[in-house]
Order: sequence, then structure tokens, then C-alpha cells
Amino acid sequence: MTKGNQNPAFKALGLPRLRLPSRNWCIFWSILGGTIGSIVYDKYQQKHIRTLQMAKLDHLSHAQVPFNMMPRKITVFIAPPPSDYLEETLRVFRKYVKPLLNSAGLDFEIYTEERQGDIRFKVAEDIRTLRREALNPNADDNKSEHSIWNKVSSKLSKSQNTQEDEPLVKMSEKISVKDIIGITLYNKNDEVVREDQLVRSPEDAGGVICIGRGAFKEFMNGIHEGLLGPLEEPVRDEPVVLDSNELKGEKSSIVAQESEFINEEQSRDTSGESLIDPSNELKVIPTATSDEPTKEGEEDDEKPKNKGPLPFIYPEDYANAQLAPELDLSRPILDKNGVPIIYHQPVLVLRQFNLPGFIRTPERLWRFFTKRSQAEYYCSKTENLVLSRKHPMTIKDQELAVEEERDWPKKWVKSAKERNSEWVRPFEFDDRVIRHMWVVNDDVHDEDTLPSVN
Amino acid sequence: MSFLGLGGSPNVSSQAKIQAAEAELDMVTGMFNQLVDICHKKCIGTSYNASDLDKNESLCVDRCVAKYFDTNLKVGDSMQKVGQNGAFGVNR
Repeated sequence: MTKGNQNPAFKALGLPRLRLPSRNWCIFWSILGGTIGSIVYDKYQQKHIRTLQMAKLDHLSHAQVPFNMMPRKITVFIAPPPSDYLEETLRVFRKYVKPLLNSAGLDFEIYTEERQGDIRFKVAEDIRTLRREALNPNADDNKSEHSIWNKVSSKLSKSQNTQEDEPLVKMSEKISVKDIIGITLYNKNDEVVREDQLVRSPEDAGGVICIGRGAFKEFMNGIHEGLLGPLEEPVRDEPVVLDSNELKGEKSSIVAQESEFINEEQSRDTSGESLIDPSNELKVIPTATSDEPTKEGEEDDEKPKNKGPLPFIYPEDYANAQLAPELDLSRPILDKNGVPIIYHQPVLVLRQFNLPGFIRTPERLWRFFTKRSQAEYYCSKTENLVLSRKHPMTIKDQELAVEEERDWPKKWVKSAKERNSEWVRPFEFDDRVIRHMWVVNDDVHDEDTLPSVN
Repeated sequence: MSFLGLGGSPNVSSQAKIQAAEAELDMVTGMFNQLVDICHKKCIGTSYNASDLDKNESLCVDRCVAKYFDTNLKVGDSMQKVGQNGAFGVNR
């Protein structure tokens, strides 16, 4: 059968006979081709989905705005997946969420954490600050007017004349640098207006994205802690037991390069308050992602300061606590810019698809080859946030992104339970608190079943 | 010598102070011009088909300015440190 099959014309031209390679080569090439092909196809689909969604939202960013108007601002909370690095979650954000926010012309501010409790502390502390200010309203005068201009100009004048800058500084309070350069020559003192200031009802302002079930839990715990907890840190009875409610030790030592990324992402007037600052001093760069107990123990010993902040109140005490007596919750709470605080803003919870563990390799492979479904998930949810499809929060929303918990490694969950980590602690809502909160819809069809919005 | 209101103050008496103020103003103005240049080039499209900025442009300008100031402060800080340590050997 080898000889007679060739076309005599080709033979006459001197072309060699076409034939398949051997069986083994066939198997090799088809497996290789199939694998590469499905990866490429998947990537192509991911890009396609993202591009479509971006095109859908693109008109929003081409809206004309006055030059002193700041667009709507989204707050993003990013927590690392259990026993993995923050980078995993940041990648999700960069690939699927950020492009949509950009093409919708939204501003965003990122808060990350490398140990449990940072997000909760930040959220709670913001509310507590508001409450403290409500207690004695005149205390906040001295720290206003730390505008970037003054910072820069004071820096410059310091470097110029170190000893005798006193009279100059005094003058520069009367006449700002802005006036001298001539920015205010034609534009008479145009205050910055934020789009979020102008919304009719507070839940239309801004938005919150929590990437990861853990981030959501911490965010909600933070809200509860801020509103229900005491203003000052309570005296701890049993600090040793609760001390270690952090993520895996090795995770908390991801180092500096993160902070650069964040700074780049951050928009204006956020420089002081990022969550990543405390971790910059850490020097150890971990190489392994395994959960060897020895390593963990070492790191805990080395860095006793590396504990997340403890909550001021625990879910058991929610019911007995008084709801922020300093604040008038019948009206929307505004921050110093007149923007409703994130407590009122609609919350979007995005789950993670990170799956650690060797035994689950088949499922990991499946997820790896069908990442397009993840892209679809992230993009459509983000679109809901951008277009403000939302409903009031209910107790049922405790279950948001709860599917992610099934992916958490059992070993991690066990050790987290031993440490009383807030990611695995009972997660509870208080009725009085969530009454004023909003959640972004799961999908478009939710809108039909909405209770009437007023 | 009244220099944009700076020299008019009775507090400023010596020539050195005025010079310092002038130098500072030069520096600030230079920085500002550079900033405007960079951010305009980076953010504002050249089609100029509308009088106002669109959201992308205004966000871009906002971030650009923030980054510029951030970098400026950081570079200034570290230069000062270098100057104090005399690492360049030109410490005055």
C-alpha cells in the first residue's frame, strides 16, 4: 500500500509523497496542538468578552464634564485568597475589573491587605473618625487645608532657605502658590466638584467592590464595628487567643513591589491612607507557597508586630450594642467632601476562582481551560456596578460569593478556626446596620424582582 | 520692591529673603510648566473636537498630576538625603 497511492502528476514533478507521521508522533502532535489550541482559544475568548463589555460602556467615558468635576469614584477592597499571594487577586482586578472601570470613566481607589483585619480596621476606623468628629466638631479645623500645593510649596521653601523661612511661609498662607503662578487668574477659585456629591439619593454615589469572600466579610465586619463598636479600643482580656487571626504567615510578607503598583493606581488625595504602608518594612521574600508549619512558626516569632488589628466588637455583641449614637442615621452621612460615605454606596462582591491543592488538580485544570467563564462573571458583575443596578441589602446577602468558601483549603480552614480567624468565624449582619446598605445585583434579571426603589 | 505681593510685606527686609523667594517662585513655576506640558501631552487628545474635557481625559490629568507630585516629593526627599550624606561629593 505504500507505493501506488501517489498522483502520477506529482510524481512526475518530483514532489515527495504526502503521508502521516507515525502513530506516536500523531498522538504527540494532536495532544500538543489540542492543549495549545484550547489555551489560545480561551485567551481569545477572554479578550473578546472584555472588549465587548468595554465597548458597551465606552460611551460613558466620552461624556463631557466641566474641568473641575471629579468623576464617580469606586472603592476597591482586595484580599489575597487563602494560602496564596495577594498578586493573584490583583491580577483578577487588573485583567477584568480595571479595564471596565477605565472604559466607563470611573475613578477608583484600591485598598489591599496582606494580613487579616486590615480592611476591616480601615473601614471601621473611617466611620469611627466620623463619629469622633461628630462628638467634637471643632477639632478637625487644624488638619484641614493639607492640599498638595501647600505640601509641595512648603517642601520647596524648606529646601531653599532652611533657617529663615518663617515670614515667607506666613505670606504663602495669605497668597497661595496657585495665585502666584496664575492658575486662578482666569478661573476664579473653582472648587472641585465631585460627581458623587450631586447624586439625588446616597446609594447612587460611588460604589464598593470587594474581591474575595474574605474581603467582603471584613468589609461588613468593619461597617458593623464602626457603627456598633465603641469609639476607643476596649481592654483585652485574652489577647493571646485572638492574637493570631491573620492569614498564613508567609503570605503576609509579600514585599514592597506591591506598594509601587498600588501607588501607581491610586488617584489623588489618597496618599496617606493606604493600607499597604505597614508591610513595606518587611524584608523577607518568601519562595514557597506551601504551608509548612515550621516556616510559619518562624515568621510569627520574627515579626510579632505583624498581627492584624483586633476588632473592637464581636458579632455576639451586635444585638446589645447601641447604633452610633453620635451620628444621625436618618439622613445620609457625608464625608468632608460632601460625598456619601461608603456605608451608603452599593457593594459588589466578586468571588475568587483560586483553587490551591494537589488533589484538586482536575478541577484546577478545568478552571484553567475555561477561564472565559470567569471573565464573563467578572465583566458582567462589574457592568452591573457601573450601571448602578442594585437593590437594598437583606440578611440573605450574607451568602454573597459564599461558593468561594468551598475552594478554601481544608487545612487552612482548620488552622484558621484554631486561630479564631474572622474569615471562618460566624458571619452576622445586624438589621439596623444593613437597613441603609445596598447591594449590586447578581445579574440583570434581578431588576425585575426589585422592591420598589424610593 | 513689591514682587507679586511677596516683597510688599514689612516682614521681608533683607535682600537674601527676596532672592530666596524669587528662586522659589522660579522653581515652582518651572515645575508647574513642566507638569502642564507632560500631562497635556499624555492625556489630552489632539483632535480638539470639544471645548470641555471628557471623563477619560479629566481622570487621566488627575492621575498624572498626582503621580507627578508624588514623584517630585519622593525625588526631592531622596536628593536631600543624598545631599546630607554627601554621597555625591558635592555637598555644599
